[in-house]
Amino acid sequence: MFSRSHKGGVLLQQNKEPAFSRETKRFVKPDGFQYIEGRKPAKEGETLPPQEIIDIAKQAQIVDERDGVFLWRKLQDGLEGQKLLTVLGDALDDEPYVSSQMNPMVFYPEQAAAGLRLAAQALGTEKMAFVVYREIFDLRKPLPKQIGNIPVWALKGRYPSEIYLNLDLAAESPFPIGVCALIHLSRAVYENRVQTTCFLTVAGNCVATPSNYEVTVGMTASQIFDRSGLADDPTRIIAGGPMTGVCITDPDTFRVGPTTRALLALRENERDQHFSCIGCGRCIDACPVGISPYHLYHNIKKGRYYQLDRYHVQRCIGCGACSYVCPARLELSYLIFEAKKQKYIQGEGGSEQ
Amino acid sequence: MNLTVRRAPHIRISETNRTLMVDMIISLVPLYIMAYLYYGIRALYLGVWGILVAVAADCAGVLLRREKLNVRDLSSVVTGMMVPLLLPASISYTTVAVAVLFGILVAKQPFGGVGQNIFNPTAAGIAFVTLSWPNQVLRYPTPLAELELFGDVTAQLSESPAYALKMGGVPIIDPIDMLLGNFKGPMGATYILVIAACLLYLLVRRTVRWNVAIPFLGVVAVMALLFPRANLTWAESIAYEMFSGSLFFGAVFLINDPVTSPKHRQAQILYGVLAGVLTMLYRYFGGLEQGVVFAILIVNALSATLDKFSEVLPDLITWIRRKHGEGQSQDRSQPEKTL
Amino acid sequence: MKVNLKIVRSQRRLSNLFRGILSDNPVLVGGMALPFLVVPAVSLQNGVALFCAMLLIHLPTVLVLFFLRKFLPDWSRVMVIPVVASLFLIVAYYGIQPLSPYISDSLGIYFSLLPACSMIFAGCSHMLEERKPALGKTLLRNLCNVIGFGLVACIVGGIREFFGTGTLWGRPMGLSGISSFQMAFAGFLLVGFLAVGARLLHRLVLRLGGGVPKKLLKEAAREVPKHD
Repeated sequence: MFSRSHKGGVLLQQNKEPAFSRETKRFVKPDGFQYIEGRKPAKEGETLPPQEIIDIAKQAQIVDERDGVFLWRKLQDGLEGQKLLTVLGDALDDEPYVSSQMNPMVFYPEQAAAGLRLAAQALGTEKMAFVVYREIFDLRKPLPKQIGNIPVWALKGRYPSEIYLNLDLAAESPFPIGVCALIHLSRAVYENRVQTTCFLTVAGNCVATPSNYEVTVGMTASQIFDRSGLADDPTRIIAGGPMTGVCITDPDTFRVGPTTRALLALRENERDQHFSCIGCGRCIDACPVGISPYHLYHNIKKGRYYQLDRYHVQRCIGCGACSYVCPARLELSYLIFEAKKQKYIQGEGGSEQ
Repeated sequence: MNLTVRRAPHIRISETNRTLMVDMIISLVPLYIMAYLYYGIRALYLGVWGILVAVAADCAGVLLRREKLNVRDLSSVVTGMMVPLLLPASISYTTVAVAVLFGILVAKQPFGGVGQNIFNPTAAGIAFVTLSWPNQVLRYPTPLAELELFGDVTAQLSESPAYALKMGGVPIIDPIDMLLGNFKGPMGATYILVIAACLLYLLVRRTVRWNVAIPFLGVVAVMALLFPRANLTWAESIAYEMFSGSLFFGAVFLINDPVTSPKHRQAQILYGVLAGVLTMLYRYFGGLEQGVVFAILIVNALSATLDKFSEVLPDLITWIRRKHGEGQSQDRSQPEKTL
Repeated sequence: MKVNLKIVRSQRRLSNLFRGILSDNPVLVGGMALPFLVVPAVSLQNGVALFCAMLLIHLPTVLVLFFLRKFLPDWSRVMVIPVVASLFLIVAYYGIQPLSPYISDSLGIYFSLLPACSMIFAGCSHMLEERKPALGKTLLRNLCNVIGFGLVACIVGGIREFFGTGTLWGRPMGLSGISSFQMAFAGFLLVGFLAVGARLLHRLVLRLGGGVPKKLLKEAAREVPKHD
């Protein structure tokens, strides 16, 4: 009775249509393609040794869009670990508007499946699957059950679903790799291409034609918005998902990178309201890792940083669920995650020097 | 383009403090309508007077603390609406004002205003006037009696069924009258059906959660069942204990106050149980028939401690499990990989 | 502005002796002797009686302990201070009789508890811990503490009597009483609000002169040594 439940999180309205159903559009610079030099592309069905796949990934400079880590480094780490892993093609687009992993997975199924097989080969395992987020109710067509004979697992639960990836699938020892990185891996192996593009969703209530784009890395946000068209003057442009993304002030200088999952142009007329915390405790119910944002917030506000360990600040993943549900519109997630960074990440960096 | 910068997340739930308070107000309005039907226009006047005093006192307190005035925050309106409902309809305007002023200027603002108060302002105000003028506060007019709008009330006042129960007697109320509130008692606390509907509304809207109110009512029912105060059948005992006096109103509106109740689920359940036990102890051994507000004030003081207790408890349990060597199997509390 | 700190410090040292009245009031700031204000101080008469009794117990106790200090090991303090104070309780009993013949009955058990008051213990042990206590300064400081306590006792007692029974020193003031003011919780609330008031007053005093007369400040500024 007294063990703390981790069924926290929030159920979000997903707003993925119409961007999800539209075909992935290509918006690539003419000189944007690069090829790996001095290597022949592999043929279909050819079996490559793991180390060669990792080398190709290194030469192709593929970045996993989940966390911004180079794919070869992740594969190397996985190969060195002794566990038998389950390679998961991660298409968990659990943030609203964003469908930049599901969409390429649906429209480039062969490449995604081939990439997943290559990654499994590199890690020396047979177990593999795609994972998608199940609690999306507004899709016009259902997500496929299988992609190239590889099963698609639908992960239930509330936002953030990454938590469930670690909790519900813990027995399978999951090794998630982003679907976009897998597509780039298959292109590198079979077409010799270096990763010069990335997938992103352009959406929001100001965008004329919300859809998914494959764009050259390094394009500015305004170029992409010119292509998609703006129906209205936005008040806020967000790089990334609406739950964890950052606001950008100058779209002319902001350049998209491999980890930019979305560009959202929103128009809101919301006033700042000076509410104070009334202690409703909703943030505690919403927290997916079972910490208490209420107590953390009050300790941070009073400057009692030494108290934060007692409330397990190190478990915070910065998902933003607490800020989302807060009826007083407090910046809970930002404050707590910053405090965690100050206490742990910067603290560790200081000790190394 | 004028672009604003805000912290993530960029979408927020549509509910705000204001909507929570509006929910409370919506659920209090039917009680005022019932009070109007039973006691006439004086009930509404008392309510408006309570709101006016509460808002003025709240503004004065905020200005005294040199903070920014937030008119859109409706918490003081809720306090001002609740106080007259817990008093008899014959109460004088001064008493209402004193209760509201005590609640806001002593129990709320000195602690730092909205969200910082330890004690529920309404319960504190009612407790103060109950102790100060027990003869005025605990003597009620008969429903449907004529009450003057202003000045002293000449209608005959007498004790409520809760007083008879306190004295060891057996109150006689028709079951239908009991459900409809046609018996002597506080102006807004006797309409059992209406209050139950309000509880349902608040639960469905998730403005309040079941964690506090249901354990509270459950414990009261169990104690009434086990230790009836007078020579009653078990059903009568439960009905009289729960529905005479202001207990049911307190269970819906006072104890669910988000500010003063604990935040963790386990602590909330414990809080409700403690409040129920204390209320019944007040009824068995206290001097006045009004027990629920005192019990609520006492458990309010404990809520932070209960929270701390439930914060430590999971760690304690994991520690004990580790000690006994079975901790590895079900230790989900620390996901190793943060994403 | 450069200020000769020597002058300011000496001034501070002087004003520290009088801190007990307002800025370091033993009750409002130190939180000592609370039960005596919360429970028995229900009338102005009781407040004055508490003041007199405290005066008659505290100061002689400090005086006796001042002379005994060389013969007292540290561990014996806990026992000796209340015992000495209890001796003077007898003096205090006869000292407050002129106020009213029933006064010690209306103070009840709290009158006999006065020797165990934390204020007396704190005052004495402060003196015992000093390396070279000066008699005059010690007495002055403790007198100010007692005055601070007495002020609060009289104010709390007066307010509680006035609103609680509608009388002041037993004389009716044309007001019907509110019985809750005679209860203990009203004492707590009053002490709390008085603490806020004392803080406010202290802040006002600081803003007006910082506790140092302006003339002295000017003088001090002029006397900054040349080499500085």
